[in-house]
This record gives sequence, structure tokens and C-alpha cells, in this order.
Amino acid sequence: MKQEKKQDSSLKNSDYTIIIKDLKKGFKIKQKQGGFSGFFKSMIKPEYKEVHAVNNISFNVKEGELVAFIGPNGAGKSTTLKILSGILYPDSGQVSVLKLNPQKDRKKLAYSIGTVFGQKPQLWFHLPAKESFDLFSKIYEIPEKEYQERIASLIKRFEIEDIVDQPVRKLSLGQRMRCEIVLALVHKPKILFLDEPTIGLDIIAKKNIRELIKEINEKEKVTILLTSHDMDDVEKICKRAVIINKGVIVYDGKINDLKNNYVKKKTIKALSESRIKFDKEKNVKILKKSEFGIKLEVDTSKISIKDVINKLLKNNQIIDLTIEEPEIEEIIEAVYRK
Amino acid sequence: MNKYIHIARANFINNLMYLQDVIWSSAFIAIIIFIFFNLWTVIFGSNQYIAGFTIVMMLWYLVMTESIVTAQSQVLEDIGEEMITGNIANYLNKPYSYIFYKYSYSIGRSIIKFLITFIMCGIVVFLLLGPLNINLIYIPCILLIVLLAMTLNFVIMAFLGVFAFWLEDAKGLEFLYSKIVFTLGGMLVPLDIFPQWLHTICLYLPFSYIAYYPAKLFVGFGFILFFQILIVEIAWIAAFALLTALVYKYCIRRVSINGG
Amino acid sequence: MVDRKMVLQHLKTQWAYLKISIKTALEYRLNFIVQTISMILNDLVWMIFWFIIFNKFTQINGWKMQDMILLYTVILVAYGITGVFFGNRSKIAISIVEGRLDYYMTLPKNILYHLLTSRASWFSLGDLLLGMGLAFAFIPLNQVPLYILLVILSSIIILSFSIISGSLAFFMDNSEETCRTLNMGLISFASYPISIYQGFTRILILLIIPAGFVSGVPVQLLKSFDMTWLLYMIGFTILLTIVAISVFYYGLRKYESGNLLYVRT
Repeated sequence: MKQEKKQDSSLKNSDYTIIIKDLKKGFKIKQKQGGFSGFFKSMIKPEYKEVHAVNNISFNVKEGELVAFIGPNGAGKSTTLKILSGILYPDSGQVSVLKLNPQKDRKKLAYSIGTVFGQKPQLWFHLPAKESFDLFSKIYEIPEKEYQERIASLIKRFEIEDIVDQPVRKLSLGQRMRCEIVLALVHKPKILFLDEPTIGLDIIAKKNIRELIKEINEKEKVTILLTSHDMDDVEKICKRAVIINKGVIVYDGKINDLKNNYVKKKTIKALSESRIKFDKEKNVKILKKSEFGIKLEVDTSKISIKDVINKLLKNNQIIDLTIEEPEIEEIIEAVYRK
Repeated sequence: MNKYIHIARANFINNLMYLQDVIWSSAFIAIIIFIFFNLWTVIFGSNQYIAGFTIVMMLWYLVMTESIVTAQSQVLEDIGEEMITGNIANYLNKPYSYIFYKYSYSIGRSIIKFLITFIMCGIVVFLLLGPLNINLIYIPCILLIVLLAMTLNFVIMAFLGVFAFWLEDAKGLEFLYSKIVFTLGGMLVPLDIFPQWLHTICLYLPFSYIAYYPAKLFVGFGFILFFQILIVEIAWIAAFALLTALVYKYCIRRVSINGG
Repeated sequence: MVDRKMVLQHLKTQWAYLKISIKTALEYRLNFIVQTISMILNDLVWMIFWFIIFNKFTQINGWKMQDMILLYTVILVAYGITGVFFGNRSKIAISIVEGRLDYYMTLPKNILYHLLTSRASWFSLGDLLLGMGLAFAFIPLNQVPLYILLVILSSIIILSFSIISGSLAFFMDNSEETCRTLNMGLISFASYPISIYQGFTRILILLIIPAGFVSGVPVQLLKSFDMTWLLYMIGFTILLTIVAISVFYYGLRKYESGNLLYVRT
């Protein structure tokens, strides 16, 4: 008991916005027992399977950071987010958000957190978004004048002047998403949890949302935790990635480093004027070869890309050359496999 | 024809899955029966007959009416919704087959609901008051009347489905309709309790053939009564089926003029 | 000082929710009107039904038509109030099962209060209007304070009962049907003359499914006032409220530990 208190105070003095230390959370899931006798057995003496949703994770987030929180389904992402919001209690470990204990000070913390769930909209469906904004201003106890200024600035920045007065059900998905994010920002939260904010959006809408998220982060120093299955989101918005798999953190660092350290492969696509010539080379895999074109996979840990390119240029009249970095999905998969 | 029988059978089996829902709704009906048991016990007091019914007959009457009415399909809501979403345009080319399709879809479910509610509530009444004095030979006739009653209920609801579209609301309409059947259909109490003039009016309305007549036949069977009910029920079903088809045909014409 | 501020804030939020519910209803104007009228017609149909019964049988164990009207003034207004202001009470079980409770938990307000008030059931407006009309016509002026007190107590009992039955979702599987049957059971028992319940049934409807306190006792008190029974009613209301809040928060703790019988995503 005493030791816990000591650690608690040390957390309070720290500069981090979010602190997670040795977090553990397990669930007991009732096992369905098959057959007729199983049906009765499960009522009298049910069998439980222990699932370690979050199995000893630790990471910290500074104020104003833009962190991607990635993991396959069931990896423990939602569980972690719920613990950070104070919705779930951890089994053990310490969590501190804005120097508060989410469990104990959930209501107080709620004033400083905003959430956007791509799949669980919070806007009132049948009414204009403006109504939902007004409602939230009351729920979060924002003084009227402050609210009017705030909402005017947000509406302008997100370019939703024309749509705030239309019923949400009439808006496109992209428009709805913009309004959802505004809703989450009405009360000037210090932390924003974004869960799948670009799901179902077209490319232009996605780009739009990504820019807005980055802008908010820059202008208001809002700490953002983003979970997404869209790797472009991850790459284009965040600088840091925390990858979680089976309840354990498998990577925590810069996204650039992720690319450089994990998958040491690059792809070269070349087009030649005449028949393309490329001899077999160790550490270079020929993915596709046609009469005038070739696609190569280069193991950059064993051979430099410069050498391969030079070889190509020497033997061919290259008219087009592209170097591609590995898809982030591949990288993530590689991380998972480890 | 075979297609419709097939659909009905498939849905009958499919709906055995919804057993749990049905059991719960019959639990609620059992509560109503219990309340009425209290009510009638007090009202009967030391009398043996009220309006020709004994208390045993009165409660078995209620079991029958409740079972029929609770078995009612969701067709009003379904049609209302299909109209609102516009899906109905796909089906309206052949209004008769549309109605038949809906019927075969829902009758299987209604039969299950009826049987389970009847059995569960019958057990409750049996425990409270004992069995009904009835000759088992009459059962097939009664079941036929019950089936026709549910069909009539269906057809009226299908007809009302159109209005659900105009009023932009199916729930309120369905609610209202069930209240009408509750009272004018003699579901809660036999129409014989009503003042004479009201009793006569209700007899001429189709609703009494959904609840009152089948239940009355059940607690006091007579072959003449049986044939009378049979003919009138078929007449009402035909009338409403025709009416519904006409209204739908009219709707298609309007839909195709306005473009949906 | 803090308490007063908190109450004011809650009222402001309540008003904001009410406004938003009204606006939603007006979006679907026709639908709203049809539902309200349907409810009023439904209630009138029931009153006609009782009129017919009492016309034929004069009295049922001492209960007359006037008593039935009194019952309706109480029950319509009580259910009307709970429906309009706490319209989400019947959706507690569903909210728990579908994980919608998370939404309420991320907001800086009292969860239970928010959960109850975030929806208005417009079906109940019909009840409320008709009930108030009946009360205006049939409750003598000197009884109005008592009437208001009884209606408030009755509403609290209805709410508490809904909370308890809704909270079953924290503890058992497939609770939605059970919850709905319980709530409908309450309103059913409360809609009939209380004089029909004898013996053991009477105890049932007083203490277990408190229809007796929802409609029976208020009518009794309006007919012939009895301090003892008023105290019983107040006492029971307080007791049930405490039970309801305790059960809900106990269940909430279970929800927060994540160990419900089924996994929410």
C-alpha cells in the first residue's frame, strides 16, 4: 500500500501527459460447452477461460504528441483506451492521465478528454450537428460566450458552415466525420482519442481529415492517440507508433525507424527501351519480368540499392525507374511476427 | 402455390429459433390472465353465470383471445417500413403475390406463437380453475376458425399498412389497431358484457371475428355457430384482401406517375 | 454551495436534452402527433372499457368508477412524467448489453442520471396531457398538494423499479426480455382496480411488483387520507430508491471490471 502511494506521487510529478506502467487486464470469458449436457453444465458450473487482454504494457506520451496505436483486432487496443478513459478498471499497474487517476477521477478527467469513434457516432442523427454541439456545451458546462467563440472558430476551421444546420442523416460520411471531430473538440480537450476516424471515407475525405487532425495537434497542442487500420492514416499523421499484439507492446518508436529497421527491402520497377537485361543477382529477387520491364525486390541489408540501380543502368537504356518503399502493412506484419 | 407452402414451412422451422422471445411474451400474457382471474373472481362473487359464461369459461375465453391476438404478425410495421424506404416498389407489380408472400412468411410464425401462448396460458388457467368442459372432437373445427381469424387479422393489418405510409408512422397505427381489437373485438371481455346497442354494432364489425367469435366457439361449441362464423370470416377475408389489392394497385399507379 | 451548483448544472443539462428531444420529435412532426394521439386514444379506450364494466357491475369489491378515474389521474401523470423526462428508463438493459454505457461514462456527468434522461418517450406525452386534464377536472383544489406529492412518489417508484430490472443486464444473459416483462408487468398490475387483489397477491403487488404503491395506495389516500399509509408510501419509496441506486452502481462496478458474461467489443 505504501509503496503504491510513493509511485503515485512520482507519477504526479512527471511531465508526461499519459503514463502507463505495468498495466495488466484480463477477462474471464465463459466457455460455451457443447452438447446437451454441456448446456446444463454451463449453468451450474461454468467454465471460464482467462484472456490476457493487456499483459504488462508500459508506455508514456508527452503533451502534444501524435501517437498511432496499432494492433490487430483483439490485441488490446480498445481495452487500453477504455482503461485510459476510466471505463474499465485495470487488474494491476498504474495509469495516470493528465496527472489524474482515470479510475478515481473519471468525471474530472472527462472534462479534458475528447473521443471520436468511427463506428459509434455521438452526433444526434436526426438533428443538425449544431444541436449536438449546443448540447455538449451544456454537458461540459462551457460558459456561453466562450462556447460561441469556440464553435465559430471550429466551424470555420473545419469548413462546415454550410452543413452544421442540416440534419446529420443528410450528410455524407466525410462531412459527418468532420462534425464528429468538432463535437469532440467543443470543450477544448487536452487529449483526443481517435478510433478509426477515417473508416469508410473516400480518398479526398481521408486526406481532408488527416490534415485537420494534424492542424489541431499543431495549433492547440492536443495530445492525440490514434487507432486505425488504415496504414496511410498512420504514416501520414503520426510520427510515433506503438504497436500492440496479443496484449504486449511489440514496438514503440518512430515510424521512420520502423521502416528502416524492420523491413530491409525496397522494390525497383524499371522500364527499358529495348529488351531488358538483368542477370541473376544474389540478394535481389525478380518479382516480375516482361519483355521491356522488370520488378525487383532488393534486400537492402545485404546489397545497396545504388549498386543494383547502377547495374540496371549499365546494361539497359532505362526510360523509367521507380523505387518503392515497403508497404507499411508489410512492416507491421513483420513486427507482429516477431 | 407450392412456393408459398414451402416458404411457410421454411419460416415455421426458422422461427422455432425465436422460441425464447415467444415464451417471454406468453409469460406476459400469463400475467394478464392472472390479473383477470383476480378481477373475475371478485366480480363473479357467488354468482355462477354472467352473460351466459361461467368463470371457467370466462378465463378460457381470455386464453383463446389473447393467444390469437398476440400471434399477430408484424405485417403492418413491415409494410409501413417498406413503403417508407421505397422498397415496396419492387414488389408492387403483382400485389396479390406480394400479399401472399407476406402471408406465407408470417403465418408460420403466428401459428407457433399461438400454440405456445395457448399452451402456457392454458396451463396457468388449468392450475387456477381447472379444465374447460369441451368435447375433443370439436378441436379441428376450432383450429380452422382460429387459423381464419389470424388470417383476417393479417389481411386487415396489410390493408392498414398503406396508411402507415401516409401517416409516416407504423407504430402508432399498429398500437391503435390493437386497442380496437382489444375492445371492439371482444378480446378483454366477451361482447355479451357490453350494453346491447354496442354489442350489436360490434357484431357487424370484422374485429369480432378475430377474437370474440373464435373464443366464444371455443368455450361453447355449436355446429350452427361454427358454420355461421366460417362463412362470415371467409367473407371478411375476401373483402379485405380485395380492398388491399385495389389500394396497392392504386399506389403503384401513383408511384409510377411520381417516380417513386 | 457546491451542491446547489451541481443541481443547477444537472437541470441545465436536463433542459438541453429535453430541447433536443423536442426538436427531434418536430423533425418527424406527423409521426410525433400520431403517436401522441394514439396514446390519448388508447387511454380513452381503456376508460370507456372501465365505464362499460362499472356500468354493468356497479362496483368491484368496493371500487367504483370514480376510483378508477382517480387511478388514471395518478397513473397517467406518473408514467407521463417518467416517460417524458426519463424516457430512457426502458432502454437501460439494451444500453448495457450494447456497450452504449461507455458513451455515458466518457461524459463528465452522473452516469445514472444521464442514462435515464437522455431520451424522451413521446408516447408518454399523450399520457401526461390526458392525465393532467383528468386531474384538473376531478381533483378538488384542497387535495392538489397531496396529489402532487403522491404522483412524484409514484414516479420515483416506477423509475426505481425500471432501474432495478434494467440493471439485471449487468448480472445475467438475455436480460432484455425479462426486464421488459417486469416493466410491463408493473404497469399492468397498476392499471386495474387494486381491490381485486386478495391475500397473498396483495402482498405481491405491494412489495415485489409495487403496483400497489404506484396506483393503489395513492388512490386510497386520495379517497380517505391516512397518515400511516402516507408514511408507508414515503418509506417504501425511499427504500426502493436506495436499492435501485445500489444495484445499479454495484452492477456498474462489475461492468467496469469487464467481467460480464459476454464480451463487449
